[in-house]
Amino acid sequence: MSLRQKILLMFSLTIVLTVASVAWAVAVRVRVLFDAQDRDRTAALVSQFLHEYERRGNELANKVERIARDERVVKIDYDLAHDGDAASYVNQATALTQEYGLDFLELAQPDGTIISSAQWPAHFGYQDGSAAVVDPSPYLKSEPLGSDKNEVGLFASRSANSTDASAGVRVVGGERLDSGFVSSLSAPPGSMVYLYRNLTQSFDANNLNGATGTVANAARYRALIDRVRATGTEVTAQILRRNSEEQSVALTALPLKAADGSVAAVLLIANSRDALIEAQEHIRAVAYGVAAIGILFAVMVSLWIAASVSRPIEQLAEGAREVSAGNWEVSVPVRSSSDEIATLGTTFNAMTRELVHQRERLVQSERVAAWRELARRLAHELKNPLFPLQLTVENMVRAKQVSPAMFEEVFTEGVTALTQEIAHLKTIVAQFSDFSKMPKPQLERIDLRDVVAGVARLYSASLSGATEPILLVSQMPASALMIDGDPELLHRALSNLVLNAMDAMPAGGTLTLAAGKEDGWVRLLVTDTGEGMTEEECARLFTPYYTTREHGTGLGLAIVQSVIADHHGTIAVESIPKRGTTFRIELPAATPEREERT
Amino acid sequence: MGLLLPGAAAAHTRPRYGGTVRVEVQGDAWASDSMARRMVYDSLTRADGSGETKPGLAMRWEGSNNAHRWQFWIRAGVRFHDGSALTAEAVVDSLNRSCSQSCPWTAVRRSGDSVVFTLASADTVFPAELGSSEWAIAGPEVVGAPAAGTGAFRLVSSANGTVTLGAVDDAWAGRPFVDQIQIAGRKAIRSQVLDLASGQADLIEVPAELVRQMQQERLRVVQSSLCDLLVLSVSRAGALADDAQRESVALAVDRPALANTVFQKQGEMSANLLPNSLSGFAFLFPVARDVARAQMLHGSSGGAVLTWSVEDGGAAAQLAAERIALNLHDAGFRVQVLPHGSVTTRSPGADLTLRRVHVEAAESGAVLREVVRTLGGAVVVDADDPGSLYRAEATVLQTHTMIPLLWLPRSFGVGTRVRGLHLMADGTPELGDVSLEDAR
Repeated sequence: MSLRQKILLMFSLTIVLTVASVAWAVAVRVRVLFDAQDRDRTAALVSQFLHEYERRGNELANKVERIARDERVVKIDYDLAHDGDAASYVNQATALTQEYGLDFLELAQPDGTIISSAQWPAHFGYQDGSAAVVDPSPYLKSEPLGSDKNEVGLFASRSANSTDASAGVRVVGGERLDSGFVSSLSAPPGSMVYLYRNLTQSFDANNLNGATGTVANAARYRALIDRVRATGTEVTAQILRRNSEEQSVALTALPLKAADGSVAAVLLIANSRDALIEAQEHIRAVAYGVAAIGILFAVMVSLWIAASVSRPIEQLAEGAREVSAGNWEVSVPVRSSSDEIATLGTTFNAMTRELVHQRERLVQSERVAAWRELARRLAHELKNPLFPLQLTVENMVRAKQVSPAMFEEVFTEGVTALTQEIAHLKTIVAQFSDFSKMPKPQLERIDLRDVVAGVARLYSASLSGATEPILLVSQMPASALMIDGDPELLHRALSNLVLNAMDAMPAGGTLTLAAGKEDGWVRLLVTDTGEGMTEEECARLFTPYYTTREHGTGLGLAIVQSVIADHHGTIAVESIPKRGTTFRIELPAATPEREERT
Repeated sequence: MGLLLPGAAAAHTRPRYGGTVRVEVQGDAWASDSMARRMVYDSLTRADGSGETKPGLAMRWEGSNNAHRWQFWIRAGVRFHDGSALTAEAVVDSLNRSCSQSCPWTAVRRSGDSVVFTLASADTVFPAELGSSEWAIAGPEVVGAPAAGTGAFRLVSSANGTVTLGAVDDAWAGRPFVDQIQIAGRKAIRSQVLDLASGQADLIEVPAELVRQMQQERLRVVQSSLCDLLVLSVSRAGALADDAQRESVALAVDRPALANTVFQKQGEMSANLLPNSLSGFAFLFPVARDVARAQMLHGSSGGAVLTWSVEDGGAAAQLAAERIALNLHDAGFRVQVLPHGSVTTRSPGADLTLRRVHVEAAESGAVLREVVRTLGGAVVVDADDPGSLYRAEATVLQTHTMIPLLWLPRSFGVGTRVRGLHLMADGTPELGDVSLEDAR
């Protein structure tokens, strides 16, 4: 990651974290405010419900009181008190229910035996324990209706006997606790009131009513209702929006208990959290906007910082890369300011200038040394043939003066010697000429094994036919060693190495030519078992005009190194005195792509 | 026979001819067993007020071949309302149309001016059975109109649920006093009571549970003898396939609650298929409830929920069904109690069906045969052997597929201007004898 990217990331993270922190704090504060508002609304609705419950209860108690004083009920009471027939009044409760607008009405004997039941007409003659007790205050009850069906209602009971309540006919009237009851509660906007009638062992969605009847998606309230049914205590919870069509609500569930303590119904007050969610979404949208602007700002700041800080550093890094690649003549722009970046740039430019100056001086000194060495070698090489030439000419002159009879013989021998020495001089001149005219390799796709085989074939006779024979061992792999090379130049280079090896083994030995392929390189080893070289000799071995032999030009291994370098390869030497020498040549193997093209 | 209650005895003056009797009924005015059809069509025999079989369109009859063959001689001079003469051939045609299968006879044919029935088994009460409206004689079928009858009234019109009958001047039994009868069908009982009280109706049907209330309101009510049997029909398939389960149902039923409360003491509790007034051995079939034994027979398993159907959609029948369901619940059955006030039709696949069987016959043997046949069974009765009646009934009842509950009379509210009203043995008003006080 670049410095510019790091700066950009740091600025962006800082801005995003700051914005997120502010947004979170605002959202939390908004939620706390909404929670408080929900609690207030819930408390108001609970209060309203209790007030309505009390009002309905009082109205119901008044109705039941009026029924108990109705002349028909009084007549029943009188009739039964005087051994009358209760069967005559089996339908009386139904008529009274319709007249007084009740949902439930039972007339019962003082012992609880039902005389007439509007809600379950067939129940006459059976005992209703709750009817035996006259409860002055309204109460909740789960009323059986037959067929294992129940209904929750608000009930009140009175005695038809005003003087002796314990002796009179019981009048037990009730109103159904259903959606009609819920609809009488005026819930504020955003609040809903539901009533679950606890009529069945397990949760039944049909028992959950709102002001307009059954509640859609009632099942999502199940867990909450079941908890209230199980514990009999108030439970609060939140149901969050699962999709855009559902409301998110904060719920408070209150148990409505019957006289026996059982949960007869559950009152649910749901406060919509849509406003809260809208506020949270608004805060989130603002936060996203601020964060986006902040990131844009961070980009701009990072660009400015790049222009003032990171760009000079990047230029310095680029300059350093150039220097490491060998281009010492590079320089970086230097700002006019006097800060650390400008000092660094100035110093870098001074360093590269000094490096260039030093390199030029080094080149000049090496060039002088090379010329000196060349002159020394030329003088040395030319001096050797010139001395015999001089002796031969002097001998021929002396023979002409001293012994004309032998002149002819001396002349003939002298001419022969002169010719040989002149040929030697030509050879020396030709080698220097060859080195100076070393051609550029003509690359083609070849198998190195073929080059090795050609050289081995060329020198096999010489090696085996020498006075002290040399054993030639060739260790070539079965697969091809394809390279891109010039076979003629490689043949010459390898021949030089073989000749060097033959010279190094005057007493015979073993010459091993081994090759292989490894990691994209083709490796060729030329190993002899000759005298070997010292470490110093090895270090100077590839220096032009350096030789360890008496009549060597010192150009052989220089030519080899030149050929190998022109093939983008390397050559190295390892030698142990008295044990032998190994030349290691590594050439780049031909790539498959290049193989395919060829 | 007909029982005239207070008010009816006020008719001391000579009957007057003319006028229209306005009748209101709950059902269809022209239903198969309706009052209107009984006025238009006659049967070969009829039962008098004492239940004795009397000649109708047949002047006399004679049984032979050990009650396997019966010959009825057709009354001479009788004409259908379309003017055609009543002949033995017309009687045979009518009977064949009425009963194409499952007939009480195997063959019926004309023999001169008589009709001869051949029966598969001996039936000494066959003449009484022929008095049923089911075997009433009708003339040739007419496309688009009811067939002509021979009764004291003929069909004048039928529109908007109201049937109008006109008096037949030359009726074989004599001309009725009134000129017309208007029978309005599908009238709610409350509406009928209001019409009777306001003088807009002369005769209305009164359910048994309202008789006491009407009497308390000083309205005139006449009641027939016990002619309707409330019976619980139990399926032998499904949840009640086991005899013990059906017996448990029979023992669980609380008849006193039905008789005293649901039907307001207007019926007679009965655990057998004949009213005690006809059989005299009702005490041999106890009506008491035995919940403990019912629970024991039912066992502890909950079993499947029993399904109900109620043939009679009346409020009392519905309440009776709910009460019986409650009784069965006490015995451990799981019963789907019908919602109060709901009207359901008979479902063939139901485990329990509350039925109200109307009996037109008046002789004990004929009554038993009619009840059992109506409930889908068959029984052989020898009228000359009193013991056979008990054995036949006991055999039927021990299967517990028919659980008798109550015998009920039929009741009618009668307007103040109606004179001379009698009820036939099956509870049908004999409107041919009725006259109106304010007639011309």
